[in-house]
Amino acid sequence: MSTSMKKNIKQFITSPTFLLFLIFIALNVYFSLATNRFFRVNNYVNIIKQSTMIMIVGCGATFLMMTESLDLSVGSNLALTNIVYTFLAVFGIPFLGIAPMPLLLAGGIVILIGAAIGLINGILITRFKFEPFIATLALLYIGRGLALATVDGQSIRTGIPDGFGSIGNDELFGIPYLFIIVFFIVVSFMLLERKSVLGKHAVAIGANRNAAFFSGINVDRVIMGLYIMTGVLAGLAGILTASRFQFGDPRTGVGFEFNVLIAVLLGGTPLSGGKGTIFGTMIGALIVAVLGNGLNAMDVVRFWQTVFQGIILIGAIIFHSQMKSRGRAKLLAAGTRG
Amino acid sequence: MEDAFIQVRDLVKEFPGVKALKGVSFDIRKGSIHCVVGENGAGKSTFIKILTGAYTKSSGMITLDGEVFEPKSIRDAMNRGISVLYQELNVVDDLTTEENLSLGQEKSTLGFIRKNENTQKVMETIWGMDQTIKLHMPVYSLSVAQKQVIEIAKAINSECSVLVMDEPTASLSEDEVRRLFINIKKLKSKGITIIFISHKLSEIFEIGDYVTVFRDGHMVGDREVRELRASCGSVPESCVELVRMMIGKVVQEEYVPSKVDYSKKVLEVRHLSNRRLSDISFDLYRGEILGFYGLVGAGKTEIGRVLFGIDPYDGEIWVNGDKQTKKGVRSALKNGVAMIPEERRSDGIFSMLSIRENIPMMNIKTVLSKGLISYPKERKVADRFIQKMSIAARDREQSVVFLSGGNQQKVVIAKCLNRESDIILMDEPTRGVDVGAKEEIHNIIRSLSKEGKSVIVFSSELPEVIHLCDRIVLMHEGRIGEIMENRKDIDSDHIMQVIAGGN
Amino acid sequence: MLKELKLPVLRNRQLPVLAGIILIMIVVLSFMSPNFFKIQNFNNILLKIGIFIIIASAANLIMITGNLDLSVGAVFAFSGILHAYMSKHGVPIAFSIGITCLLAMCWGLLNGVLVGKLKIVPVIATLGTLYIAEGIAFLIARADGGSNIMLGLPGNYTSFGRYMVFGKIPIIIVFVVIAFFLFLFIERKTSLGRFSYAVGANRSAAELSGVNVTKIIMILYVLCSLMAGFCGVLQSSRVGLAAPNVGRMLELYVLIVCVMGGTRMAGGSGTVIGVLLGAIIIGLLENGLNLLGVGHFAQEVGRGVVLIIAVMVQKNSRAVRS
Repeated sequence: MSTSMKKNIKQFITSPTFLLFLIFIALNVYFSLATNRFFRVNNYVNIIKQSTMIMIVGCGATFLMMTESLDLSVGSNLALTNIVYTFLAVFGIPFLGIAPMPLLLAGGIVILIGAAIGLINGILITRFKFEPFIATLALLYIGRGLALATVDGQSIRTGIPDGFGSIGNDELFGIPYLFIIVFFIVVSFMLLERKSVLGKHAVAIGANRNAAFFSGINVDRVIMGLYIMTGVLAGLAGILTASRFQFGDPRTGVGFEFNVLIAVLLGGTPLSGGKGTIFGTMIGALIVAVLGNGLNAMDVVRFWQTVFQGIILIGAIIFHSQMKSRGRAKLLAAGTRG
Repeated sequence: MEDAFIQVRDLVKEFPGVKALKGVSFDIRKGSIHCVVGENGAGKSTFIKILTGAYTKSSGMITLDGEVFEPKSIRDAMNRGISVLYQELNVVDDLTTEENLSLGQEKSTLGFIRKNENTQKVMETIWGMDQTIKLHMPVYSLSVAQKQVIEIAKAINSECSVLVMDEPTASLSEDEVRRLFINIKKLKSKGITIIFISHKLSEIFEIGDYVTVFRDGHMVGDREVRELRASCGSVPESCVELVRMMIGKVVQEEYVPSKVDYSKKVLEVRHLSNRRLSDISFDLYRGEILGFYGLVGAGKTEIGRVLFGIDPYDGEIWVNGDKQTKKGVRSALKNGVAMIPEERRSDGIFSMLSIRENIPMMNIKTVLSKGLISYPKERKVADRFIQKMSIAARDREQSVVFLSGGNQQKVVIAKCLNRESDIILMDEPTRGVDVGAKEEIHNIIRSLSKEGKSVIVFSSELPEVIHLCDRIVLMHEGRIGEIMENRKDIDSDHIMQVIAGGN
Repeated sequence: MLKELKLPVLRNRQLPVLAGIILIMIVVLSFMSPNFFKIQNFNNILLKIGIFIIIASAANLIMITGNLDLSVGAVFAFSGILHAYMSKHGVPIAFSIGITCLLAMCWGLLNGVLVGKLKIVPVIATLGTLYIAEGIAFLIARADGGSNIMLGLPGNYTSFGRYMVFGKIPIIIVFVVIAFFLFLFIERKTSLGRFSYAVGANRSAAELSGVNVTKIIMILYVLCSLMAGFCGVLQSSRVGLAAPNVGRMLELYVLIVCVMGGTRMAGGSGTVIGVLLGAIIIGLLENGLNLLGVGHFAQEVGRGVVLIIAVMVQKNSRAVRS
């Protein structure tokens, strides 16, 4: 083995992503031994299905976090788009006398709604200098309120048109459409992360805002774009959830933003930005899903999962802050300033 | 000068209440290495900021290559060919060399990055300076010196004609400094004008062609380095000449010896070392005013930070005969050591709070009665200090943010005095303070010593230490050069020699 | 003492404005709805915002230090359900209240350690606590065998929350008054209060002045959780039922009330008097919207909008001053 290869392997083994991978494997082994309902092909299909929404939105959220921003409104965005999509498909726009719409049109409108929420987030944060947390929190409540108000708090379960569930449930050559869509999105975001101007600029903004500014990057525009992108992805996730379960529910996606946040953080993107990988977020999303699924299989109550989520969230942050302070200590030790 | 590339004429910069540049004129020749030196507050950084577009001038004129030069922003100045190598390097650690080079100027198709021929060109520039830098290395794996090379290469390829280097050697090893100097000479041979800012005078003699000295907002010296060297002989001698220009004439008249009780050592420091300091040992006696003097970066502030428990150290500190074991600010305060920090705005005042609320913050007990804050007591404390230190304020309820710099500093000192510590460390107690307030602060320090307290003054102003202090510790690059007794006829030339690194 | 408390109020320009808004709202609402200007209606408003005022008074001090607490809603729910569970299973009520308050303080301790000691961003740290506390609240409800606890509570369970002082003042209003003055007292008369402002105004200067910043932050988080926990008990006792999801959105209310009352999110300024006025404005707003027949869900949208407006107003008023 050449030394450079050895070095590469050593680098990989000591990286947080590898540790994450080990945790993932360990969880799988544990659940497989603990319950016989876990280690099955069908169950894995389920796990991936459960993680798809986190993966889709996680793509945008990872980019946001790289720039030291975050979006707490994705769950509400998902709920709003979910219910509006279903509403448009089932009822149209009654007070304008518009009949139920074709799914494609409804989908298009809903994606615009998702983008609009992202746009508002972006405007508040870049133009009015809101802290991302406050702005997106406000949108979290607004989005949820709008979703509930649209249908007066009721879910839409009747009158669902044919083909509504197709994209979320049908398969192409035995592969669910859902997987194909997620695969497509994830691959394109990986490309964006590694090969695109946007990816480089996102990293630059998070790692060194001054350097980004002096390099002529329009920081505000990048951040605005990322919020809109995340909004669009949340809108897409809204459509897919509606299709997968074949009904519209204004209460869906409660706490979804936290799942996304946890997946991104677990995936090695620190809150302070400057780095991060889509790949890491995907493993993070799988861990969240495996944990949920495995605990379910073991008959652990859903509420314990909430507790675990909290612990994981805090754990992930402490892990990052430890890594960071260690890195910084190394830097300080290396300094030779007299 | 005929071949002047940059001409500065009567340049003035006024801030509310302060004139930072009071009409500066000099020339910078094309393709020269022009050094700018001066102590803190001399105006050199204001000049640089105007040149690079961070500030706009109040009056006067700068011409660049014969044309009037008035940059509206940093980017504007960059477009006119003025690049800056900041101390805080503007590279993105998590990107590779290649990505850093093209940052902001990526060539792309549909948002995806294409191969950039330009990068190859920059890389060749880089390899001209350092062959070990690889295209696909993440920048965090590079040393500071290598990062500098990347930034310099970026500047060259953006076709800059002037490169401002702000203390580029501050965090380099000797070997790296040597290599940087070779590169700077290469840049010079390409016709790039370099403005070099450094506190290390020996470097100026090694690399500089011209040197301009700033003092107190004026240009006080504009010399050819060769000439300086010829007139003074050896390098330390020439350094002393420069230091003399930077510090100016020192009139010694006011020093009145304090009543020092030499039988009572309140502070003993033995072999103190850390990242910035090496082998510092000294004593402090009851009633003494001890001064620490040296150029910027000589390690004065660092000693204060160690004594006040902020920074870690090796070595021993004894306060009133007790060896210090616990670290941290609170244990220092408990042992009777208090400090007035160098940075008043970020470490001293609570700008949103009133004077009344600021003053007791270091010793809340003085305004408590039965464990609760007593407003009458608080008012009394505030009024006493406002009167004693003649703080000019509308009333004690005024927010500190609205006070002038001198009065803010008095509030910080009042806050510290209210602690009634026996040892008071004062880091640059009169920085950014007008002459009147300076005198008042000096009188306060003298009266403290009369009350039997011991004061350490860390200052980069020579007049301040020789007016005030009973003994002066001269610092040079993290070490003590000499500890001298103050007297009326103190030899300021000798002081300058010691802080310039000579003996 | 009264004079001492009055002085800073007059200097604060924000408070008269808030008071003016309240007056205008009262006048407008009186004209718009005949049901508005009635004792019963005011009583309703006070009962509704009482909880916010008590919790926000404590959360306000945290915000004054430049931090925040998102876990108040979860701690509120946790405490309500724990108290109900213990009371149902034979623990004497007074005893149960005591234990619940103690356990509620543990959540604050957790927050305090995470934020003060480990220096974790408060948003994330308290979000983690929110999760854990809410999860456990659901688990307790489940351990009892349902989604909430209502049946089987002892007969005297509600006698604490529904107690009328002097036969006509609901006990919650008494606690609101107590909390208000307690925090006014902490803010103005104790070193804890003074140091809270110091930490928010300039953390580094506070540390260099010898203020134990970590300790201050920890105490404030514990205090805030105690208030949230106590309110959880009070509320559950008043309505005679405890549900694990009652605390959702409470953190938003608390945030809005503090921001509305003029407390800077970055810390350093703010007062409990502002919190009181802010809460009254929110209460009047919701009451007015109810009387005017605006739907519950639309109001939720309104709350988000109000948060944005409150932050914007604050940012602008600061920009004008500097």
